[in-house]
Amino acid sequence: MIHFLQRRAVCIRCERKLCLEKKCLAIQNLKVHYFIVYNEQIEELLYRYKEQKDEACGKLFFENHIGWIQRKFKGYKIIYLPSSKEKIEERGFHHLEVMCQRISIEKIHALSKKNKVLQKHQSKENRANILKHFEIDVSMLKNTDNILLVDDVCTTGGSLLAAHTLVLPHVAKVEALVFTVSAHLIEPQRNKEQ
Amino acid sequence: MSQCPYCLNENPMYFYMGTRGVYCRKCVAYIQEKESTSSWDVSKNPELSMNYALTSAQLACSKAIASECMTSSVLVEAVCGAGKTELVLEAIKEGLKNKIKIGWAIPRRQVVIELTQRLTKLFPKSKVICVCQGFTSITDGDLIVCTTHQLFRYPHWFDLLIMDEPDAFPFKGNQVLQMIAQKSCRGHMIYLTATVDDYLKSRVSAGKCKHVILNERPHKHPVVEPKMLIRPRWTLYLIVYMLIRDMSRQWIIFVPSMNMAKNLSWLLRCDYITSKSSNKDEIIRRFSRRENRILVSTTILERGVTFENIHVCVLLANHSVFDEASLVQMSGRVGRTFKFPTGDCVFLCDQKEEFVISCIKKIQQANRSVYGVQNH
Repeated sequence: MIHFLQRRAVCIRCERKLCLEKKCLAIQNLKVHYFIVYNEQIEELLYRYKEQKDEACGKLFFENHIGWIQRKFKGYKIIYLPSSKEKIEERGFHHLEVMCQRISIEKIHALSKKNKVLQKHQSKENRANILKHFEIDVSMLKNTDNILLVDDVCTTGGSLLAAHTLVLPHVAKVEALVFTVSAHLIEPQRNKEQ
Repeated sequence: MSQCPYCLNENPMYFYMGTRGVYCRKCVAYIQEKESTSSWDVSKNPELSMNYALTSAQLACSKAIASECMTSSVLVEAVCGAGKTELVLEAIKEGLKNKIKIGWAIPRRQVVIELTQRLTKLFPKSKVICVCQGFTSITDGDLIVCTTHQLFRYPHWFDLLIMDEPDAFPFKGNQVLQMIAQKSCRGHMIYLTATVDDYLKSRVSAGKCKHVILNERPHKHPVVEPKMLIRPRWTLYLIVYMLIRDMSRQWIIFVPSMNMAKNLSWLLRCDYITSKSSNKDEIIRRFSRRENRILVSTTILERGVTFENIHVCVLLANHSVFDEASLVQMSGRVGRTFKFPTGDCVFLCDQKEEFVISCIKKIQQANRSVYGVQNH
């Protein structure tokens, strides 16, 4: 029991506050798995992790669902959504790599960013144009059937769809895993269900 | 790492081994990259150009501070509106003459920007630098005015560090910021406050800090003594309504919570200001131009603002959000200008509370020390 508690990155009480549940939504043809809807607490957590560079927070995101991720995506390979080199150098660590450090699924760096473009500074229309800033290294996708795209936040789904468009012609199946999605992506889904 | 170089933390729980090496999680949120540290040689011949004269009490304090701060730390306890800024100008001038590094740290960013503009006019021949969020490209000058958050840029730097309102949020009770401040000062500190906390009191009683007191406002009128009314809770709202009926008077109503501010402003059909208000400057501007007669506020306006001819009412002054210091500061908003040196301050309580009574006693004591016993 003690061993089990010591291994947890988030205590049970905080985990309840975070309400991490495995959920899924579809953005066009892409199936996106997520754990929580973006809120103030998550904003603070991400700010502390990415802007204030508290690398220890990286453990909090996927840690409690590692087992589920490894079972669910057995046979997949992880591709991180690309970040600009300057941003990674400035931060001192790759935020997605640290988040997925303990997930024992093979990771490949097939996608990269040509220019330093920050999605959060773009307008909604420009966000869809992110495709032209992405580059794919096709040689890395040889002998690969299933791909799991990983990102921290999905706001409009623009980056994920761009990555999906680039990767899909070379593999059989693409799914996405993000930690949090913005509320307005969920609402049309809920309306459909109703 | 046995001790954090920034916040002096020694607790191993806070150290984390990351890709960049070991770092301290206690102060990581305060330590950003040092973007620029262009060095600056202190200018010669500083000049203090003040176009108004200090009162005799202010002059005496100012001289005492200037002489004491060279040999030890000084605690300046002055009532709200006594002109604390003016008291240390002489000490700064002496310091600039002696070419020592001088810093002025304030917990709030808005006050830093305002004070820099004021000090630039007062010391026209010296380079006064503002260092706070949004102003970090130049970090060295003759006189550095910064937020307490930015002190991490100056380890063992200042020969004279002026800590303005060390009892204000977010500095108050924040161990990391206090450690960073301690570390940035290699010489002596001047604490400027109207509400001395236990830590400063203990430093004075231990002889580590000299104590300078000024209980007189420049206009020589006593600080307005608050009236305490203890009534059932529901009647307090009626009393507020009765108070603000006089159309010629401008009131700030302090409330303990944001929710209450919102509800009360709806009831009274007036503006409200909280830390979450997006147009704070606009609301303050409208109120100071007297376009709005009533303003409901949380503790955000308790210090650092001066309005002419206003009256203050604190609703539920016995609420646990308030303490003695915040009540002293709120009552200190009244009668700050030469033109309107008096006003009304009312504490509305639904229960008797020790800190409300001690706040009133403190103000009475300060007034008595200058003006003797007064009849009301």
